[in-house]
Amino acid sequence: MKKRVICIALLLGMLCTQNAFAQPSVEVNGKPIETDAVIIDDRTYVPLRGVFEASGATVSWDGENQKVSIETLKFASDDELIPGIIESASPSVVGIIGRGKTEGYYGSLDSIMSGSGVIIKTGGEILTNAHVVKDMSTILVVMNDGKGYEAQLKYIDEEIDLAVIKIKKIGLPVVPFAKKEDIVVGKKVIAIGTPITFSLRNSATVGYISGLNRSIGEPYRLIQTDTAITYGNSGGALINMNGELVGITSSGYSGTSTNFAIPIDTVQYVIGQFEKYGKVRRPSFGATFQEDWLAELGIPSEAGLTIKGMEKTSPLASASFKNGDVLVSVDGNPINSIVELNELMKSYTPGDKVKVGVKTGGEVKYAEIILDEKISE
Amino acid sequence: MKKLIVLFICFIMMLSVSGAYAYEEELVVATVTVNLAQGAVMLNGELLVTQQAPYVNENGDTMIELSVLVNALGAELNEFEDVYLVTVGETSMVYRLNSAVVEIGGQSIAMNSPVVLSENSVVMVPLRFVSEALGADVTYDGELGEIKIVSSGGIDETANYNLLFKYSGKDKIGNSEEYWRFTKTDNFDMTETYYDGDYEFLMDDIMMSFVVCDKSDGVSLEKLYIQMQEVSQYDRKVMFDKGKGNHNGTPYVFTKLRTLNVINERYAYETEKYFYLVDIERGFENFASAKEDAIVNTFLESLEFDYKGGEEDITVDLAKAETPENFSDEKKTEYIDGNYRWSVKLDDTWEVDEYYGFYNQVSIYRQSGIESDEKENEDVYYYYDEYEGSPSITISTYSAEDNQTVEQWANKKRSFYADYFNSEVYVVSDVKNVKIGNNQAQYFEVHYSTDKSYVKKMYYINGGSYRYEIDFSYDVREEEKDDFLKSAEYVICSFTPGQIDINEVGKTLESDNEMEFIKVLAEYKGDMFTITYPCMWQVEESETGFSLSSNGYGNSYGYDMLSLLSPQLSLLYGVSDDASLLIEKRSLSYYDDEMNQKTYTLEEYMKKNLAATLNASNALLNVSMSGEIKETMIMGLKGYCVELDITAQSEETYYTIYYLPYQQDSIITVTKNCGKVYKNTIFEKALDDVIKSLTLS
Repeated sequence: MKKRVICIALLLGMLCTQNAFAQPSVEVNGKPIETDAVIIDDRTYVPLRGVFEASGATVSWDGENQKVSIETLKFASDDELIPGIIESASPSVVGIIGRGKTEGYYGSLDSIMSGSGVIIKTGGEILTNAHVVKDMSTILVVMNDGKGYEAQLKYIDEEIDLAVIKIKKIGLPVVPFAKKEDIVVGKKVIAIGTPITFSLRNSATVGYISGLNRSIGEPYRLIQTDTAITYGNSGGALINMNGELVGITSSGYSGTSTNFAIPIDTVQYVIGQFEKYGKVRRPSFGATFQEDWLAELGIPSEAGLTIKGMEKTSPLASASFKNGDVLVSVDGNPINSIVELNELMKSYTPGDKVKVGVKTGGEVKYAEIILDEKISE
Repeated sequence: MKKLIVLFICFIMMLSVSGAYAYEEELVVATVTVNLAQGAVMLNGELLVTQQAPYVNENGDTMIELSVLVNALGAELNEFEDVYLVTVGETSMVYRLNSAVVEIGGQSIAMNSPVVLSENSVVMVPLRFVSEALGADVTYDGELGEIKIVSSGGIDETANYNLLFKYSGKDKIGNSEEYWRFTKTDNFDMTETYYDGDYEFLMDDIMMSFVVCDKSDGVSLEKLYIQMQEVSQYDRKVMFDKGKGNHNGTPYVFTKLRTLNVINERYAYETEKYFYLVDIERGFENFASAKEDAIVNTFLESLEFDYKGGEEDITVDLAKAETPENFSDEKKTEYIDGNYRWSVKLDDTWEVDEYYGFYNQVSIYRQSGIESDEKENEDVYYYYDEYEGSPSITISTYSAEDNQTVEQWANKKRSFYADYFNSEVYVVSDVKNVKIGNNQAQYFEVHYSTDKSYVKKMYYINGGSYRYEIDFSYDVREEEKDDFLKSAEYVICSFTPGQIDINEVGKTLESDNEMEFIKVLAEYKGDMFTITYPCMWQVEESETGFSLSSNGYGNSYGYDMLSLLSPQLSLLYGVSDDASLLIEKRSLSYYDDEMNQKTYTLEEYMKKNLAATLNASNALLNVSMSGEIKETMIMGLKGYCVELDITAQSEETYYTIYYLPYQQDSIITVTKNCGKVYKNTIFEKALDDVIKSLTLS
């Protein structure tokens, strides 16, 4: 059978142009697999064994009877699945320990700080929370196997609270990223990190995604989860049942089951910005905004954002808007909270042109403005 | 398919083994610059030959020739049909043509774009992924259209916890009397306590305690070992380890005990003279942590015993100190103090600051250039208040009338320093003989016990009618300057006592004794008055007169209390346990209720003033007159004199107030304030002498 497929492939190779030769890529459960798949007469042919084995089935070949038997697994229970996921993800979650740049109140005793990180690049880049590493003078990364390596801070964005550090090590295991659409309330997730003390590093807790888009005075949306996230868990991985990274554990209300993680789409946005610009370049309207009090409480509001503290050079000013006017939409997207605006701005870069809708003197006026760049402190 | 995979794995194994074995490839330090517009690839600034220019594909990924990139970064590339194996040390990465899946370290990782063949059959790979997988940093400069790939080379292969626990030579902690010390890891603050012969150190939350016992007590290491293993029922401890060992030639025994949450490690070391017992206690949580293990191990490894005291014998025979070569003759100057009592030779790096007052001190300074770290040396500053950030040689001259020998004097001063300074914090050396020039002198040294960041070297010399104290204080960092010690020794060594008799100078010098100081008088000429007063006292002028106090502390507790309790009593300036004098001119004019200007008579003013003062008595403050109002005569002015006893809390003060008529509508009040401890002492007599010396200017 294999021979025949190869023959066909060769034949096709001779007969067709290069375009037709392109192999279709095959993914099983979101993971690309290596196949010799071909398309013949609009039908895709794949090797039986490769596909089924990749989907977890066992394939056996009875040569005497020329029979292929395929046995798919029963749905594995959580108890069967979770240890495997933790085992495969743990090597990608590291402990981060360092000495503070400034002495604490009780001397350098309390300036040893620790957190967690997630290996995102096989060549040594590790993602963590900005607050974990920003005050460390020496950053030590401790791998799952207990080995420690000195890390350098590569990128940092305090607003989203993410940072990338790098160790001089290659061939490291990474966690694949989940898709934004896979983050659904009710899905089971596992938090892996270094809670409370360093001696508990790489401990895992299981819970659910209990909410999305929750903002608690944070400028960006967060995932709410009931997995126990404590102090040292910061920067650790929130993993879904496919073993994919859905977020970076970030903060929580200590001692409660209300904890937060930075969602993967924000993580990807930040990494993308880091790679392009070395920092997160944020568009700016040259003004600050005041949320409606309902929005401040987290209650859906339709009151827009009141423009405050507008700078002279503000693009809003050049469109002759003034303090006290209310921003209601950007490029047709209604804006009612600062988080909404920040989230929307992730798809823009400074210099982009946007159409803003601003309520001034009781009526909504529209104007095209060019976004400034927000200067970070 | 399976066969193919097996074959492939064999192939990888073969390659990776041969790769590691034959080549020992290492990543190199390299900067690869890719200019997209020009299609150029540069390695460390030199243009590389490429078969295919880099380009940006439909996914937005920059594609680069695999062999060019991998070679530039120093990795090894092997090709096998459509499989490309990139090897660095023990790490291998498998790229396959037309596939976006890479196998690295047994893990499949998806790239954004697959490996492709360019039109002219060159293997092209996503630049960022392949570079970063090899540990390089990729940055993109949008303005220049340039991509920079920086490889720092090398890979950390060793775990290195020491990053957190750096050793620092300065952090030698120890006890010079019992001859032990250890090195502190500088990331951890340490609290040191000394109690009844035991030292305790708290590092992080590990408690380490030290007991040193004499060997003459008939103890043996074996006995200690048995003792150490005794576990009291009450403690509920379980022994889980014990043993014997040798630490740099020092035999020791140890036991390790634990409860559910506490670990105790006990060590006993035997040296020629002493047994050193060390107990390390820590919580179980910490026991499991590598960080804490490292602290304990560092502590144990760094222990030193019988190290002969931390302080090397630094005595220099100053008679032997040679003139530094770099002092040319023209730079040399001689400094002779104002009364020809002594002289020194200086080079122009030193400056002289004369202070003629009570102390008869002359300080010789040198510009330091070392910034004083006030935060770090806060307590040092407290004790070394004379240091002030510059190295100084302060020479004080005292009278030798009390016939003390210089040995007695130096020993007295040494015991003063030893008593005054906390012996746990400061080390005061023994008094030793030194020669300064041709003169025999006595010497001791004071410095911080943990390090010698500040050193105070005290020299005592007798010179005929005088005694001299030379206080040489400096920051130890000065010693790093080549010529510093030489230069300072040269100055000290050149010290020559004067040969002039006291009578020729015409002034009596103070002996180093406060009771004697009071005899040395100074004159003060104010606008209204002239007085003669003990030169150690301080005169403070105000608009209405001046005050004189026996020390510089001015308002003490008693005064503050009094002024709080009774504001009108503030005329009684300076209720304190000092001896002080306040002389003031006061106006007799006042305005009555109808705002008519009136004038008191002296008697009226006195009565009103006294009534207000006496009226101020309450539960906490008692003011009473002792005796009657007396007539008196001062400065040729006939007036009155009142004596008051004032008790505020526990402070007892005696006041004598003189009311004297002065000019048309004013009076002079002289208030003598004498704290209980000074009543009927030399100080009160001195005050009376000052009052007697009052003359109108």
